[in-house]
Amino acid sequence: MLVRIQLFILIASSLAQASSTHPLTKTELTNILKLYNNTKTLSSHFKQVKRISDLNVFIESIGDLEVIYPNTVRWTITKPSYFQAVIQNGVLTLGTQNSQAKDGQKKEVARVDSPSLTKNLATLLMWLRLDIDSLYSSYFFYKQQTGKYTCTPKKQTNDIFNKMSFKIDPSGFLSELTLNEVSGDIMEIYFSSPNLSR
Amino acid sequence: MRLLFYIFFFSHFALGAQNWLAQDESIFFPPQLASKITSIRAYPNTWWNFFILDYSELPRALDEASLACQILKNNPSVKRAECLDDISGFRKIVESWAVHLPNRTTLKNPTIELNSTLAKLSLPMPRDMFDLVRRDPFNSIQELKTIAELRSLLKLQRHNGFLIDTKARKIVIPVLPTAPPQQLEFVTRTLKALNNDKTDLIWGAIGPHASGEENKTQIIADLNKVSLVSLIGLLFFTAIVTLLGFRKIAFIVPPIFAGIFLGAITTILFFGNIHGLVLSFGSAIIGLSDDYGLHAFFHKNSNKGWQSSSMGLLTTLICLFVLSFSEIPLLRQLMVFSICGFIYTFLIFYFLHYIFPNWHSEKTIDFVFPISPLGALIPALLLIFAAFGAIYLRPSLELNQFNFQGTHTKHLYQWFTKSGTHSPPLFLEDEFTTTENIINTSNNYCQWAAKTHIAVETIRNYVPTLSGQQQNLATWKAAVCSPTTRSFMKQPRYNVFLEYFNSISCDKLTPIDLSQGSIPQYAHHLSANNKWLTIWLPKNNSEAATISSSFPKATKLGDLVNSFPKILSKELAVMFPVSVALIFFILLLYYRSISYSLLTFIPFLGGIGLNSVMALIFNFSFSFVNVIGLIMLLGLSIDYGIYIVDCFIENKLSSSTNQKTTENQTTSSILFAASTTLAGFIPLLFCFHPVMLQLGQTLLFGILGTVGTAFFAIPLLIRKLIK
Repeated sequence: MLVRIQLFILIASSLAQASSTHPLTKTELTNILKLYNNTKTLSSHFKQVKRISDLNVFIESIGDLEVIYPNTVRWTITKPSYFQAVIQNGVLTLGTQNSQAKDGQKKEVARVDSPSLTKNLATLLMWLRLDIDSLYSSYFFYKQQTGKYTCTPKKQTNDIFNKMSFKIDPSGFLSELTLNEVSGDIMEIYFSSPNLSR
Repeated sequence: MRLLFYIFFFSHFALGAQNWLAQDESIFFPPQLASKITSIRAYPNTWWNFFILDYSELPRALDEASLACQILKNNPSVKRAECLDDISGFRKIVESWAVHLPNRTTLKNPTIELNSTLAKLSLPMPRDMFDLVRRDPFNSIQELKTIAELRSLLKLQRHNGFLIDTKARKIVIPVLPTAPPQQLEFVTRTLKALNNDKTDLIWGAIGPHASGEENKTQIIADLNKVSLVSLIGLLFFTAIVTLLGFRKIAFIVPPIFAGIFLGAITTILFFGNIHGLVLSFGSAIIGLSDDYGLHAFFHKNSNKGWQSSSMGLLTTLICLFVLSFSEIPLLRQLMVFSICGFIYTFLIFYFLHYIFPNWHSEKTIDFVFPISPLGALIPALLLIFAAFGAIYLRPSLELNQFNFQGTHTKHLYQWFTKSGTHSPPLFLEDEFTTTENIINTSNNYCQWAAKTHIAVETIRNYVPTLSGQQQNLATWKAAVCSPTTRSFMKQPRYNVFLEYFNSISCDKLTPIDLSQGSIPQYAHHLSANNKWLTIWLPKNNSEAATISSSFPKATKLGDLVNSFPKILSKELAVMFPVSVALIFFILLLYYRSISYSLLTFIPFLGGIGLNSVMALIFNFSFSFVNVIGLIMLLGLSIDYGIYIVDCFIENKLSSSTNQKTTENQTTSSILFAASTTLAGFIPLLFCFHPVMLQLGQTLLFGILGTVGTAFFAIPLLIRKLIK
């Protein structure tokens, strides 16, 4: 009986894999993300859960995403505390709220010289921009279920993420993004109230 | 023959370190000064080296620098390489710094900082960075960065993880090795690996390790060159000696080697070891004892010849003996070695003279002293130049003259000096008694620094006074230690900081202990051998003078090192005249004539004269090596003087046939002695290292001047005196 169950699981998983062995073409990907084509600005609320596997802790944060195409992305965390990461023309700036200031009027902004942090954020922000050319050149995309997709990097690089998945809601917006880090940690980002301008 | 000595006495460079062979530089300094220099050099802060990349295109240079950064970080000889943002080298420092936060600051509203750190942790960051941030939830690393930036010796900005000067097109990677320069070599092979087959990207390095290795590499390269030139010279010299029929002259070599060997053994028995420099320079000095062998070689059965040589030996020993009272251990050991070597060699020559009576040469070179007033013109000019040299040439005895810098290194040093924010730092040490005392002393320095606006790196920058710590700790204890208060540490959303919270639990909130074994990681660079270092960072000479006047014990490392030449020149100012006076007194007893005694000094003055002319024309520097060269010159020139004066005194009493023979014998021995010395030291002129080059120059011009004056001036003057 146990052998039969194992065989069943093996066959089922093989079939499941077979359904996603063919990566999506660029046209298919463009079609999936068509809402983001020729966009000038994009804004959205987000909720993020970062799961630290070995410590068994969660870090929850909420905030706003703002993309001004082609080269500016603002990732503003409002809870648990104000924290903003901005990448503009490849330069990363991190900003925190001055603890002495009231109403968040004053912000402490610092240009951060951290190549690895910049690289990791650049990868994240490439996703947030949904730049089809960059994404397609970097990843293989596979369709999983309706509106759900996974992707793996085309090249073995030193990127922090080794696997990603995302979900497109019926209206065509990116609603969920899950990033699996090499360390085993997982970042789940849920987007809401998207706003696009062309 | 002296070529052989030369090869021998420098060959120790190629030998590994032996117990009997000392190589440390403490021998340059009197014991108290040596211990101070050794003590300051024990602090890792004085070990920093800088790898510098010259580039033409920044993007390619950044790739190259990233690769180099990885190579340096993986090098087991490198403790820290400040490049990219791999913080593995700083983890322990930052963690220990964060753990002592409650000692440095009062606790106000912890949740603001903790929430901010949580927000930061939600970003995708490398795991090592994540772990560092969660172990420093109050972001104390910023304070540490600020302190480091204020004390930075370079005014360069960080871009892409590197210190870059975009104008000069240079990328700098500061590197802290695991051990001081005397114990570690890693720069040369690292540079070789980094510069492999590249033309437009050139790595160079400056710093204590880099400088030491560059000097050693140059010395070895020079030695290889000298060995080759010496070998060719030796073959050429042997051929000439054989053609002239003086083959038996080669028997002079073994006694000198035996003298050096026995001298070295006596020195080791006396001092416990012999320093490499003593073996090198001392062997060269002992090599000059071939004068006695050559004099005996050409003066068969001549007791007068041995009498002259004995006087030559005595005058040389006087000079060496007086200098052996030097405060500088190097000179003391050098003189003891030379004295022993000279005596042994002389005694061996003397006994061999009896054992092998047929060894002596029947032949001589047919050369008599030229007597021409016109020929005396050049020696007269040299004597005038010697007087000019004594007045106008100011010897610069700084040790940095010994420092070899290649063209690229020179360029890097010039750029580095321009990029620096401070003048050379001043170091001040304080003995550890109690933690409280050392912090209070340091606190006084900080208060003075605040008043004078002079930057200082001291333990008080990192650790508050005991009372300050207790005030700060009290605020944390109130939040953490009370069982009734719901501490911020117990809130589940901060579970990611649990490890840090455990490290600042109630029982751990105690004052910082700075005693040996408890020194926090972030303060390691300021502590060594139960002492604490304060580094003053003046912006200019005026600030440096202000520091020196308020803290006389604060010294620049360069000043300490340069005290060697200062002591040396002070001693020489006394010892040299004393030596000359004693030699003159002995000669006076020997000749019972002031004129004859004075005549023996003329060759030495001629040697100084030619050196002065050359120094004035070619702007040669005058250093410790020149002093050693002049000591050698004094020894051999007085010998030449005695031989010629004795020759004429002997001739006065003998027939004209015998007169010619005596002159031929004397000229032959002097010409051979001078030729062997010249042949031995001319190869040094092919060297690039200043130590070797300067020794070569001094002896070349010294011997030419000495022989010229001895042959042309003394005969003319002595004949007038005898008449």
